[in-house]
Amino acid sequence: MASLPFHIPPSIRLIALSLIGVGLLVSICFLVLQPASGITASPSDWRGLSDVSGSSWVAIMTGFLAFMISAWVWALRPTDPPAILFASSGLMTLGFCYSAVGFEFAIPFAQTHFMAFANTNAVTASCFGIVMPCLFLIYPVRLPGWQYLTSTVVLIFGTWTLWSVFGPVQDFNAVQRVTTYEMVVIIAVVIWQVFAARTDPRKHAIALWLGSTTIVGSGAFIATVAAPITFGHDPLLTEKYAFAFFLIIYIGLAAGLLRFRLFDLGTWAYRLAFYVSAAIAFILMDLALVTFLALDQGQALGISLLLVAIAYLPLRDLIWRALVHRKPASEEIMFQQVLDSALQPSASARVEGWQNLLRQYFSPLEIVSADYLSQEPSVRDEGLTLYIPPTSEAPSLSLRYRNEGQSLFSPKDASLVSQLIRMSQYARESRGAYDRGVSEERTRIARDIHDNIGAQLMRALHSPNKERKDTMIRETLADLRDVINNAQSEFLPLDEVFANLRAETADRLEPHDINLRWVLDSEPNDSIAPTLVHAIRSIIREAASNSIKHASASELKVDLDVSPDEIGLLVSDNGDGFEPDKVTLGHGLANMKARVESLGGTFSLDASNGGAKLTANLPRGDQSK
Amino acid sequence: MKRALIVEDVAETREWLREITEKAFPNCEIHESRNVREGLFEVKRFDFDLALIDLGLPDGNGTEIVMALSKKGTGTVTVVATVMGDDASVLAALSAGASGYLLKDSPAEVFERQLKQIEQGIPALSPSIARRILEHFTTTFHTDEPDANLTPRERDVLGLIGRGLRNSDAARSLGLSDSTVASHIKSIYAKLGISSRAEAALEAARLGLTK
Repeated sequence: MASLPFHIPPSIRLIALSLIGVGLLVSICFLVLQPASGITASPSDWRGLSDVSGSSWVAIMTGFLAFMISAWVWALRPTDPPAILFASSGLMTLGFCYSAVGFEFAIPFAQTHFMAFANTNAVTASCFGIVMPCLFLIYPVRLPGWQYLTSTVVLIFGTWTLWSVFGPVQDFNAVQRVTTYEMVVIIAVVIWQVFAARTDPRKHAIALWLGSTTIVGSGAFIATVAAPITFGHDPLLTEKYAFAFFLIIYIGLAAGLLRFRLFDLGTWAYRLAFYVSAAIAFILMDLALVTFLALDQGQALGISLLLVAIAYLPLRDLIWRALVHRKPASEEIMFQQVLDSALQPSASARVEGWQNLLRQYFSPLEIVSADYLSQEPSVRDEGLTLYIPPTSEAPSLSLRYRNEGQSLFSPKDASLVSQLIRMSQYARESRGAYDRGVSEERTRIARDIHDNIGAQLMRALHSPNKERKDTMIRETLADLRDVINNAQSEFLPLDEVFANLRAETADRLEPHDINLRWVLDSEPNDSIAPTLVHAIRSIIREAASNSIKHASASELKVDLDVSPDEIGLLVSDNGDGFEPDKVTLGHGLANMKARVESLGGTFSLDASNGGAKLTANLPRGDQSK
Repeated sequence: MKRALIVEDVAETREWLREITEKAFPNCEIHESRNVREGLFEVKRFDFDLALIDLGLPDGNGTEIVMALSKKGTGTVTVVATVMGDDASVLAALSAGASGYLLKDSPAEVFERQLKQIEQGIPALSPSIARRILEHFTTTFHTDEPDANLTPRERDVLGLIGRGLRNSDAARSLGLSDSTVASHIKSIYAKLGISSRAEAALEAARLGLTK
């Protein structure tokens, strides 16, 4: 595709071609309106519109429209052979229509000029008949042996045409014969094409649509003009009126383009046509104003210029901007959009989001998936195409015709794509990391609930003593509060945990007139594993309960010594004490001992010297921070 | 104490709360509601002296009822009765105008005693909540609203309570009377309301209320 230097954006190509089309239209109108007296610039001396035959106007319009629609197709598909052939047919139509109008000119012409018109008319008409079979030999499907058949058609009809036009015996009526036989060939090839394309519904539809408009359009002309002349009758219609039949082909194309995606063109082809029409309208408006100003008097020129500057130009700019221009997105919006597309819940939504993002940035006329393996974006086809490498989810893509076909892709765009890809990847990875974090957290909380809450509730369930049941359930709820209030971290803030424990213990002792002495030796901002908290809390609670119930003590002392390696806990009261040998450890104390030992610590109870004294040492293990 | 409102969705707990309230305030007319809607309806129809409100209700958050009560301005002593006592919700309820909060897993006699204390103007404040309040005032400093900032004394009180001292212990250690500490805490609650209102939305999001 890059073999030809068609590195002009389609819109520029279309504007240029349209201007040529309009220029030719203006020229032919100018020439046909010139009076017999000779060429003059003053319109008052021109022929009236009605002095020119209606059929000439029909021919002029036919030529113009055929050219414009062909230019449109070719501007979008400059290197596509079927599009080139189709566009050539339009050029030929312009040729035979305008050359036919040449005979209407009132200005005196030399015989050679008339000969030129006649030759042009004959050659272009015949060429039209050559181009059409060639088109249907390769479009929508390539028919077997299309190369030979194309050469044959070109050779036979080409030679025949050149022979009849430039040969020793000039016979313009021979051209009617040539086109009639060309028509037969067109019909044959179209039927073959429809048959050959029958297995592919889309191509079949294209063959039917394009084939039938061609047969009806050119066939109607042949049937009403060329065939009667060929077989020695008068034509049924004036030749130039019959030209209008050819419009069926071109209008048919414009109408069927979207439905059948003729020449692989889509909605965007219309959009481009619309923009270009707007552009041409502006150019014509400019021309009209310049003309208007030129005709005006000297003083008015200044005022008009001023008017143009302050009113017309800004207005024009505004409308143009509203129609065509899009503001480039800012960095923040870019970031937002990348996040939006990268964080879509499903893979298909992410792929779609990615395409939308690219569409928003580059407004390409087309986004198609591409067969592309490199990991770097690159600009191809002289800026017509931008290749997007595959991302982890989206396939590689090729964007074509930047900015609705109004500009070209540049290396800057490629680096912007790299940036977008990097941002998307980053967003996806962050999301992945976040998801992993959430799931780790969930696992930890579940483990916490299972190990502590579950075990405690089971113990409470199986405890026969109602009071113990209540205590255990309360303890469980307290643990649950820890889990909830510190859900964000694996460790609990030591200061806060012990502060709550202190307040709770003091609250419980107060009604029994037991004073609490609380000594905490710890580093600030330390944190502690929940299992240790549970153990320490149970010990202190149990000890407080015992003091309340049995000891008739007036003071309970809690001594917590927190070092990086272990926590030393000493709980003592000044009560009656007891003989350890005579007291069997209750469930509470037995549980406590088991718990501490399971954590690798030591637990001892001493009540011999008056008052009870409970000592526990708990290693912090690798749970210390 | 003539009329009390209890809003609680768990029937057993509602019964438990009613018994405690009856015991603490004999001859008190007790109204019971099971959800936010019923609670708001009761608040509309009657003036209450006391309200015990659960936060996690089937049709919404009890904080709505706390707000309705403080908006009505009939001087209801509003007590949040929660079981999880998660700091964020309690703090939000205090900002909305609650006079205090109690944990429903406390033994009945502890609950009754604390309820009576709140009614007598001795607000309960746990170390965790005291720490959250201090954090709140440290992170949201109001230069334009001097009334919404804590005094150094109030900070001292919060600091001590945050370390596990009870109101009376804090009073002793600061050389103040118990009632002075109580009035400091009440003033802190009021400021919490002012400072929260200013950025209620922001705060609610930070505390996780909008989840």
